[in-house]
Amino acid sequence: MLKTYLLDIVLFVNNIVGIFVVVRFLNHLLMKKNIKEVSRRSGLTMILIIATLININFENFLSNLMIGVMLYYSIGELFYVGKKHIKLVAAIFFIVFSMITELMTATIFGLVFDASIQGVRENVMHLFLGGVISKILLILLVEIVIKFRRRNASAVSLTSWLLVISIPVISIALAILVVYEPVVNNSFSNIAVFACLAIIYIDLIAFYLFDSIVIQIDENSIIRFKEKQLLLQQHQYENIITGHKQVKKIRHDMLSHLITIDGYLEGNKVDEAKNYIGKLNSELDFERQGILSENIGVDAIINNRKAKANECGIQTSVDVMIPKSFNMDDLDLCVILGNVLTNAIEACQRIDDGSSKYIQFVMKYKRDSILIEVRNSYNEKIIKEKNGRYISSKASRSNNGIGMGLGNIEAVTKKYNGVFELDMKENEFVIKLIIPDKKVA
Amino acid sequence: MLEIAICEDDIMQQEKLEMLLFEIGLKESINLRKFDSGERLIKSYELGDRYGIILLDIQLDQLDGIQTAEIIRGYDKSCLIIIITSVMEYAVEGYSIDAYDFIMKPVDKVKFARVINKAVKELQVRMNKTYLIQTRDKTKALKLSEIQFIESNRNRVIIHTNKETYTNNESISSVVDKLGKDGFVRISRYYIANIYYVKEIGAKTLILNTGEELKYSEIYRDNIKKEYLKFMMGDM
Repeated sequence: MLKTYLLDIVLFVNNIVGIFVVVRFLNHLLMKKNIKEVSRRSGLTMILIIATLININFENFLSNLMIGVMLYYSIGELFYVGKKHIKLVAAIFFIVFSMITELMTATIFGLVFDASIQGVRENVMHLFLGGVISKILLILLVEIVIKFRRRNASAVSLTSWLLVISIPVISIALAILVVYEPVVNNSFSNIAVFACLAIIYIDLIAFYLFDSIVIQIDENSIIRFKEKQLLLQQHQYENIITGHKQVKKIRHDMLSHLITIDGYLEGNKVDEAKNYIGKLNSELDFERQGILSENIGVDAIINNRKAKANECGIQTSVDVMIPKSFNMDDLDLCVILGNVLTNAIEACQRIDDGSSKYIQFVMKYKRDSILIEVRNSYNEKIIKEKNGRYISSKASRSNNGIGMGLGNIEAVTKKYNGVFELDMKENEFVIKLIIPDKKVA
Repeated sequence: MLEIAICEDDIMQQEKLEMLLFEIGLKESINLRKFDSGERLIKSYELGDRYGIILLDIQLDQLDGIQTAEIIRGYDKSCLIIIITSVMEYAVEGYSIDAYDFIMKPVDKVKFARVINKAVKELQVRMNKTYLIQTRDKTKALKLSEIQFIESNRNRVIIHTNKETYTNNESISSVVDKLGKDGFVRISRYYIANIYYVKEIGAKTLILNTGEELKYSEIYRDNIKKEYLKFMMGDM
């Protein structure tokens, strides 16, 4: 009973796995269209049924190939946003991938079963095992491609990725082991079929779970970062409120101030009047109230870092002249500002020979670009250069994901086609950044 | 002579700015005009006067500084408008009219001198430097500030300016020798770009603020970056 339908089952399982993998592949290549999850799933099921029906009724290799490309392309077209030719190339790529894996399977068969390989076409068990193994290999291959493509973006370590990759490798061995006996004897075994189906199921689920974990980790680090941001902003609002209260008080006091000044001038005491005005000026000093610009997010970070620098006995000067809001993504800007300033503070902290510690921060806006320049003193022995990159002496291990390090600054700058330059003069470390102020998807 | 205008409704402040200008040592080399309202300054523009640098107070009576600047921009896109204000909020609006720089009140002597000197230097470069080309019947001087990029064509060069394109019988490497110090940078075998028109350094192309993209060669990348940094941040 099972044996008669085995070929159909093979095709069906083949298609399920094929669609699963192609969806995963496209997820990383293209943007999902905004479709309800229910209709997406039912759409994919429809395609699965159509594909299986076509596969059962056509036996020709070439036509199957063409239909494969068309099906994969239509999945891309139906569920993803993007240029048509990219979708087509992705579909062809995918077909090539599956051909490669099938070839690899054939090679493995040749190695494992040696002489008994002749009966491939006759023995359904052969076909079945071939299908299972080639699909596991396909999963593996796509996984490697995806991993390679987003190496930098994800916080998942290489070790855990290798561990996950070991699952399909082991399962190939397991599948061959299970089916070895019936294949060599040219017989059929229900248990072997079920075992293989179970193995491929486990593989799929393992990757699905791994994927969710990756997404979860990425989301977590963004959330942690945002929480930090919010805290900074809260502090900034408190600053502003105190500033505001002060302004109110001054407005209230204005009349008495004017009377005092008037009194000085009446008595021709010009110098006293000047002094008095000078005192008023310092009371109104915006910078002391933490108002550097109209951009609250930027102010929050700079003030926070400035406070930290003051704590460490670092002389800081800040010159900020920027618009109220930017086209650039706030998070990206925060990454840059947080990193350059933290970097400068840490460099100053490592000065242990008693020489002066200072940070000069300048941020301006010119010709639709954000300009940032940070100069700070540093101890030149501690920072070394590797392959043209400056590595701060702090172990890079502590740069856990978002938050620290020159690498992040460089990555964001690159995203915006910006320019990033580091310069180490004698005892002065200079970072210069030009970031085109635009939206980047 | 450098034409400078001060537009400020407070006469005391006007005099203070004038004094500061003279303190920098510009008395001999500038032609200074003072206006106490945006309307008067615009009137002067209507009469055909042009200024290289305008020191513009933001809080003016009728027309405010930004409105005044917008109207002036209609006459003259290239003049350097330096905004003078005591309220940061207004300074920020200055970006919409492409302000050259900002000076906060009370005016700090050192900063004032730095901004003005920088502006004067930029104007001198812009006004005086030219590139001479030989047309069929005469020699023509092209303002460097109007040249966007220069393209090599066999042993001639095609000069793309804001208005039209010209050709000149000269090799591209000899053009580099002539203009290399004036903000022109070699970006590939075929192109020299005026750094003033660069908006962005893309992965493979230089994006000009006219929207045009020029393919650059990898070996010149570092030099392009260096020149661009110098141009954008040299005076920060």
